[in-house]
Order: sequence, then structure tokens, then C-alpha cells
Amino acid sequence: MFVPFDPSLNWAAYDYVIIGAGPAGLFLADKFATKGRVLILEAGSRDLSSATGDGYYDLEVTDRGYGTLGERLSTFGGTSNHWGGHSHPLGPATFSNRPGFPGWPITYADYALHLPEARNWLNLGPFEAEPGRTGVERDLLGHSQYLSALHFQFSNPIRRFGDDPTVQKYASAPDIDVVLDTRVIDIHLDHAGKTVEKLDLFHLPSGRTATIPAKILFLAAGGIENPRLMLWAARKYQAGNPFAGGRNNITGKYFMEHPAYSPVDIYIDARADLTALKPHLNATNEMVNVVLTPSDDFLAAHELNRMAMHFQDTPFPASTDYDIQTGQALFVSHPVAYSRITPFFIFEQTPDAQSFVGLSQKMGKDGTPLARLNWHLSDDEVKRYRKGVMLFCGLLNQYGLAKTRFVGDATGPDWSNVQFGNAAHHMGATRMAHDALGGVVDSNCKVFGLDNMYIAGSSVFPATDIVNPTLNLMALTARLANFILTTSPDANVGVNYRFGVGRDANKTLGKGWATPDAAGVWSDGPEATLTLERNRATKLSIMNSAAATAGVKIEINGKQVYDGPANALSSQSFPLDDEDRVAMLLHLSGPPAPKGATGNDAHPAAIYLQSVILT
Amino acid sequence: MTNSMRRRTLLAGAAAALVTVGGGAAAPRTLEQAARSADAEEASYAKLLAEVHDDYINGRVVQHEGWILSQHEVAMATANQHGQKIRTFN
Repeated sequence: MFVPFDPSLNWAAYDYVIIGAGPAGLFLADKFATKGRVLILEAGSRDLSSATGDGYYDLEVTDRGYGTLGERLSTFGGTSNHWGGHSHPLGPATFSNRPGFPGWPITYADYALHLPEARNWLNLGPFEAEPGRTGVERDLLGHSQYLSALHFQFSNPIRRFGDDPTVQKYASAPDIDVVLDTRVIDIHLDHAGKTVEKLDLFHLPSGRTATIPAKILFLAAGGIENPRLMLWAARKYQAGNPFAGGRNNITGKYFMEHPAYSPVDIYIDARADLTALKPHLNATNEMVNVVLTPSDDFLAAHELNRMAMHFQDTPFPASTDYDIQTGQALFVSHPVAYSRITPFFIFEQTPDAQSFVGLSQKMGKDGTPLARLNWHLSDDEVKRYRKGVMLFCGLLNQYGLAKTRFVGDATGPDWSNVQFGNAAHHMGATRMAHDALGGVVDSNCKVFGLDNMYIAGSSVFPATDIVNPTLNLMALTARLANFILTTSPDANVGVNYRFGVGRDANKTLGKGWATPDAAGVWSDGPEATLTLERNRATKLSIMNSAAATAGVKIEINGKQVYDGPANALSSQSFPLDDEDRVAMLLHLSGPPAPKGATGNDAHPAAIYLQSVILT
Repeated sequence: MTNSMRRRTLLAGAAAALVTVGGGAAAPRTLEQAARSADAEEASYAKLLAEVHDDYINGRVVQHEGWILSQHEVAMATANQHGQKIRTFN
């Protein structure tokens, strides 16, 4: 329900307090609603027009130029209200230690386990690369082991959490209260400095304030606002406090963006099929955009940052272009005619303490300082980008089908003064790490040194890959919520059964399962069974993947609860009866595997079970 | 991809190619060059293509007059300034 700000509200009744009604905050609220009462504090209103001004957008920008207006939306639904829907999972290499990158304190499998739930929330179908290579991919990459294509999916329709259905859902949710136009202006710890005790609130329209308790606090206010609020709260405590990011004052540091730049024109043989450059519909009727990237091996061999090339415009004939006419004299081989495109590159920014979110000297209307954004790209970093573009373009050139030429400011050998664009991706400034010396939150997004405060959002990313953050921050948010629901002492209901090598949950598997691998287990036959302890849970959810052609019927304690496509299971939950044990029987069906099929397509009559969550 | 593209793509990395001598009718040809057999020319050109390809996939890439080129292409372009012919491939 939407609840008016009122200092006399029974604030102590809430079990979970969430700062921010963006994608992460609303997701958390929905997950917790069955377990207790949830309070969402949103700085904006339900009216998008009020999202401008009021100091929220005002940033003090230093170092690199940075566009600020319109990137963050202070409103119900947050920045999702102008989300482009561009979605791709993080790559496995993102999680590993690489030169200059700290790696993540969790494995790719730990993260990927929660992707199905995130996809479901964002209206994304199962992520599968399109079969085969088409168009320019085939022409340019057909024989290359060093280039690969990423197929970005778009939510269909793009999920906007401020839309009417979402507003109505939360307006009628009995266990979720949303208080709008209310900013958290301070966070207080108990005497021991280990527990968040209370929050100071400021109601912007009325100017009234309140101080409220918080049993468990979730900071989900966005990639810049999260560190800003932490830094402001840190001022009251001694150096090295948890808000400041521990002894090394990590909070605010290592802010990362996705630097963007269009340094080259690419001339491609006019006979190449370039249709795949355009966003197109895949087999499940979702928009797909093809992006090219060097292989992990190539990047490692040349010590390059991860990077991707987006085709942003339609190729047009360039055979009479003066540049290409003069350029042909330089080429060993060249076609008769070319098409020309001007793509843009996205780079993975190396974490750098000099790139940070801090506190400005300027104060906002709520009496707290504005954020200061010091987006920093070192000269060495920029040199690596230039080297990467040259080597990447070399890979495009390798068969003689494309020729590339620097344009504009990129023509010079020194890119130190080049103006990079940004992607409105605010990441890294409250990063996740193995310990408090390296980060602000632990592997479960819990703030180091505090026993009841968690952070959700892309500010916890210690490395970013070259993919958009929304899908991935939602997967991490699902992981955080599932952790809270299954492990918190005050939520001692349910069990999270995770399958994979070495996991205890494998013991619950009955007949019809193959050997578990790193992140789950494949079914192996027309029937598969498992038996679980209910632990007072009332609902069962499955996280899995499967070929689109696989069908499954599921019985729980002898009662059929599902009959449908196996790849849609992750969007379902099933009520449980009062039996202490949950006996599941899965009947699986599907066509034979096509010759040469890989991934899920190699198991068209099976399901890949990653976890079963009882809540 | 057209058949001609596929063939050319394959030839680019192989030891044979369809080669035409270009650079314009005015391109000078020395007696020694004229004496070389067509097979030798094709083999020489195929070798150059392979070297260019090898440059690209191994990162031996340089900027020349704005273009991103292999080292062998730049060497060829530099040599051309001293009167040697350019070979084209259509």
C-alpha cells in the first residue's frame, strides 16, 4: 500500500526496511512480503514529472566529463522507467582474478543460479544464443577463433516498474508499505557500532522529519546514491567504520562506468550480408542485438580490457567515398565496393581508487551534501582502450572483408584528452569483496562489520564486464533475498536446495538424474524424482534451465501441479501441503537431440536443475 | 555470403588466390618481374596475404594515414612510394 508520510506511523512494525523503490528495492520487497512487513522508503513520487530537480540529479562532476541530467530517475520504479531493456548475463571470466581486476568473491555458478529468477522479473525469456551464425557474424567471424558474438536480449515488453500494473500491485500488497517523497538523510548505529538502529527521514514536500527503527536495512538507492548515503552516515563515527568501508575507506572508491567511444569507421565488403547488424526477433519473439567482442584468450594474451563493438547504425554504400578510394591503395586486398558503418565501443573499466563517488561541499534541500562524482580514467587505461581498438579492428580486417579507419579525435596517437561517453551504468562504489580490506560488502551483500545492513544494486559489482547491469544486479538481488529468506535466524522457514558438485542437496535426488556438474544437475531419463524436507515452508520454486522444446509434468506429493514447457518453470511457484516431506516427480518429454546440438539443445527432453527453494 | 566471397575468404588464408595485376596501366613492370611465371606471382601474393592475416591475428597492427593496417600492408604501401606496383584483388 502507499502510505502517507506520518511521523507517528507505527514504524517499529516493519521487519524489513528498504531504501529505494527501484528494480532492486521492489524485488526485495516482493520476496520478503510473505515473511513479514516491509517498508519501502522512496525519495521520489509516483509522478515521473517530479523526478527532475530537487537536488537529486545535481552532481558535482570532477575529472572526466560526465552527463548527469536524466540518467537517474527519482521516482517509484526508479531508473527502470527509462530502461532500454538491453540484457546479457555477465561472462564467467568476469568473476575471476585478472591483472588489474580483483575478481568476485563468488563464483559464476553462484551468480548464474539466480539468473532465471531475475529474467522472470524483467520479462526476459531463457537466455540462449541463437543457433548458428547469420549474416555479418558468419561472414566476418566464420573462421575466427578470436572473435565472438554476444546476443543481447531485450525485455519484451521492456519492464518499467513505475507502470500502472506495478503501481497497482504494490498499492494492493497488504504486507508492503511504500512511503513516497521521503529521503533517508542519516543512518545511526547502536552503541557497539555493529548494528543499524535507526534512520532519519525527511519528507521533502512538507519538510517534516522522523526517526525510525530498522530491524534489517537494505540500501537499494542506486549506484551513486548508495555510496553517498554511506559516506554521509560515516561522518559520525571513528575512522574505519563500516559505513566508510572499513580501514581502507573503500566506500565510494572504484566507481566504474562503461566508457563508450566511436573511434573508427568500418568499411565492409558490400557483398556481405549485414542484416544481422540490425536488432531482430529471435525464436521466442524477443528483440536481439548482436555485439562483437574479442575472445577471452585474445584479451588475455594482449593484456586488454574486455570490450565490445555495437553496430549503431545502418550500413550504407561507401564505394565512392573519397576516403576508401584513397585508402584502397594501402590494402593488400580489397573488394570492389564497400558499405560503411560507425560502431561504438564499450570498454570494461579497470577498478581504480581514483575513480570515486564522494561528498560535495554543496548541500541539497534535505540538508545532506550532493554527491561528487570523480570519474577517472588513467592514461594507461586509455592507452589500453586504444590498443584494444586497433587489435580488435585487426581481427575484423583479418580476412580482408573489412577495413577500418580512425576518425575524429581518435586519429591521433594520444587519447588522453578524448571525451568518452558513458552508459549511465553506475557500478562498483560499494563493492563486494572477500574481506573488509578489499570491499564494503561480503559475498552475500552484507555490509562488513554490520549485522543487519545489506546493499543491493550495481554498486556492489567489483568488476563489470561489458554488459548492461540491470539483469545482473537483479540476479544478485535475488541471491541476496534468497540468502535472507533461507538463512536469517528470524526467517527460519524453508530451505534453499542448491545442486551441483559437492553440494548436500544432491542427496535429495532420487532416480533419473545424471552426475551433477558445477552449477546443477541434468535429468537423465523420462522420469526424475527428489525428496525434500519442507521445514514449514508453504511455497516451492524451481530454478532451472531447459531446451525450449522440453516439456515437463510435475507432481508434488502425488498431486499434479504443473504441465507445460520446462523452460518456463522458473517463473512458477507451487503451494505446498502440510506434509513434512515434499516428494517431487518430474515426467519429461521432448524430441531427439539434433545432430551437433550444444547447450540446452543437446538435452531437448531434459531439465537442468540448479536449485529448489522452499519459502 | 556470395560464392565469390566465400571462395575469396578461403583463398585469403590458403596458398592460392585469383590475382590480377593492378595499380593502373601505368604501373611499371621490370624485366625481371615480367619474366616471373604466373604461378610464382600467385604464390608470392598468397604468401603476402598469409603474412597479412598472420599480422592481424597476432596483433601486429599499426596506424597508417588513419587506417588500421597490418605491418606488411604498411611495408607494402611504403615500398610502393618507391615505385613498386600494388597488387589488387577483386
